[in-house]
Amino acid sequence: MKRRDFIISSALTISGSVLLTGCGKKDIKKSENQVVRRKFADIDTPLISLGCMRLPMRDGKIDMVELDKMVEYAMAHGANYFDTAYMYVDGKSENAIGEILKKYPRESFYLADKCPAYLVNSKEDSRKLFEEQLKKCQVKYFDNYMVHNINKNSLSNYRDNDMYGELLKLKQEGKIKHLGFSFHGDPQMLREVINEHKWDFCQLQINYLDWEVVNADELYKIAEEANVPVIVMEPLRGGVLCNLPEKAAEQLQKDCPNDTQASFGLRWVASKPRVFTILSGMSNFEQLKENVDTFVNYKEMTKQEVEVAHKIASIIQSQGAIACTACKYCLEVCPRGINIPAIFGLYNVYKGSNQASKAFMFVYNYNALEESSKADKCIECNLCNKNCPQNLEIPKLLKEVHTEVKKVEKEMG
Amino acid sequence: MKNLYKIRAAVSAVVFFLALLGIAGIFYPVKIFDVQFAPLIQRVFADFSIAAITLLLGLILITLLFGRFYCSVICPFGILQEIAALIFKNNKNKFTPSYPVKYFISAAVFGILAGGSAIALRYIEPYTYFGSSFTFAILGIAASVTVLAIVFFKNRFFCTNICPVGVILGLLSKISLNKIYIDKSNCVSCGMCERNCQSSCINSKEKSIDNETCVKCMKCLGVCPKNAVKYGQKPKEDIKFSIKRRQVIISAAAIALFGGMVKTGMILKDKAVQKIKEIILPPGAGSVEEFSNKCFNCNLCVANCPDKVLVKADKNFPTVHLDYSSNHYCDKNCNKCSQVCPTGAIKRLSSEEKQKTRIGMAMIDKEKCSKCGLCSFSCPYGAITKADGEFPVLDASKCVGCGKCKSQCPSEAINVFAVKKQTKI
Repeated sequence: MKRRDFIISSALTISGSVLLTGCGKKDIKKSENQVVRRKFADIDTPLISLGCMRLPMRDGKIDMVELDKMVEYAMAHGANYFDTAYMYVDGKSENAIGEILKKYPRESFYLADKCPAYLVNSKEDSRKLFEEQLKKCQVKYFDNYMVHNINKNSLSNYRDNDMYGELLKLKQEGKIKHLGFSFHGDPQMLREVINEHKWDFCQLQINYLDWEVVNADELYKIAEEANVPVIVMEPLRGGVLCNLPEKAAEQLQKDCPNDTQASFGLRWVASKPRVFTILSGMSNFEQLKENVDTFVNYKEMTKQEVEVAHKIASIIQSQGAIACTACKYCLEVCPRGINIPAIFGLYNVYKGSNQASKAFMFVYNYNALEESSKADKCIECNLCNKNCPQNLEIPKLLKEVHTEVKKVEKEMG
Repeated sequence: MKNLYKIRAAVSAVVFFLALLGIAGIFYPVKIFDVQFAPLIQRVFADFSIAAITLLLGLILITLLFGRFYCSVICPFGILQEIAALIFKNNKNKFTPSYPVKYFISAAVFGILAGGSAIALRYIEPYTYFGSSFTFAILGIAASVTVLAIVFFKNRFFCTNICPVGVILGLLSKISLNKIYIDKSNCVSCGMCERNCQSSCINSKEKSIDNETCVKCMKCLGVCPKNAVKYGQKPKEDIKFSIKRRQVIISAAAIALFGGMVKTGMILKDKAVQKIKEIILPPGAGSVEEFSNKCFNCNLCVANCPDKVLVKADKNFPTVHLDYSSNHYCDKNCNKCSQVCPTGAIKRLSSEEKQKTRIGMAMIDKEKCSKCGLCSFSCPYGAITKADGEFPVLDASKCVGCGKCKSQCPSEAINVFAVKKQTKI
């Protein structure tokens, strides 16, 4: 081959491949119906976002086809904020969302990730984890980055290893656009943490149940005083507020016939002006479509509707349910493999049901669980307590559930 | 050429001696059992480590170059059979191999292995027979006695007609570079080689040798009065790889069928194992389901456990497991079981990794505790603390479940519970 031919053909090959990779990026088919957005300083995000903790699953693996479809729909409607974390879906969430988002131009989406405070045992760990996360997500920077899950157990990790300082350095390097933290603790602690440093935002658990019966209202007020914008997580309390107990569901149906349980919960959260985005973990396309549509045709909450939320919250509270959001953080540490969220879920359904068969169904479903994952296998090592963002005393509650099962079984004979 | 038999026999003797010492747990620096064929395949499936793949490819390459040497040099059970045959001094060793049957057996057991379960191999594989019989496990002894009885009547009938490993090696041997052949010009058809052949693969009338069943013991080379039996590249003959199409189809179907059935849980989903969860496994074993499907029960780890905490399969559990009941515990600095396991059922862990692997979880029963504090002194992981006059407190995040505290406790107040899945702490 002549030298000229060689040069020409190689130049053509190179330019061709460059062009091809350039074309590889997916075009976003913008729909006319865009979700409402909120703006705080230089943060401009859609009001509803896809949280990647409860991704669609198929046969124990993340269903990438479904997720791809969901992301495409979300992007088309302007819901371009995605929130993942190191420990979501057994650590596979980051890879999955990274794999899907790499088809889109980096500027077209916001990606938020979090540094697991409970894994940071030295100063260097923050950066090490961060680099690993960048790789897993296949990006060069994160738009929002958080210290994950500051609570009474991880607070010392966060403080002793100067996580803020380490992450601030990363922010100065341009690898983090906005720095925040996600929080699961009491108001007193939030006041300390939020005023300790200058934060761009914070992520709190806010929904009408926590607002009415726990302390979300106080947390929100503290963020307001500190002038820090808020991202909301668990807006439906891990599905509790879209699987309402029958009595509460009837109430909602009567008072707000136009709302679904999910849209009611989300709109309630959106009525708080300091909230700039709401993260909802969506496990299939239908859920995503419903949520996105809620915010495409967004209607502000009325005073009457806020009253309804108040009523529903008190109904739920009166049922004596366990405040588990099924985040499954406990499963990661339970050495005995007890299916804690499933057990609590069954218990809550039992408590919230009016049907005559509820006791039978409760015992039946409970006994259908794998023998080794039942409540009485707990050896009270208390590892789960340290990981529970809701600060539940899990071993004690497991014991309660087990006594209840035995009691019901006895009554039924 | 005549010396080849003597050299081969000497090497086999050394290997067998080392294997005996290894399985007795006396002396095991040369890891002979790491190159056992079936465990090695299992190990490749289990950890896919470079070491395992290299060893497996090495074995295959050696067989492709030199033929089925493995059965008379590396396989301790093969050598054992040869020794037995020497003792029996039998000449009643004529038999004709039945190819379709052994192909089917091999396809089935390796299909099941590919489907994720070593349970079938556990009962038919020569290395397991060797290991379990020399560690005096009942099943192993029974199997070995049976095979040795076969040797008495039919010599190496097991190796050539049943052994699933032999089938694979035999097929490789069929196309190997070096073969044993009869130099027809020198041969006088005296039949010495045929009478002395262990695996009945020589036809002295037709002056032909079946290299598929030949285990390359080299005895024929030694006994031939005319030096007509030769080892090397067979001259002037096409290499024929003639397996009947029907056999290929049946074998492939058997692999797919059995592999699929195991994979989908139609067979060998050990119901007993599903129920037994309170079993503590050696560090690196993963979970009960994983381990019970991978372990061959060769008991090499049991023999090599310095603390005698590893025990053989018993009525509690179908494979080896840990037993804390008689004050044995798993030493912090020992990772021997994970180093010797040839099947990869116990993952190779460094000492450090082992110390961070949680195999169980201790629990202190306050009703029985006498507050003596021995547990807090003995815990090598610093997981138990005790203030004066108080009950000892266990830091569950540090406990790996080694059982030392349980072995020290005078009032039997400590229980070690099994974990569902071994995790890093």
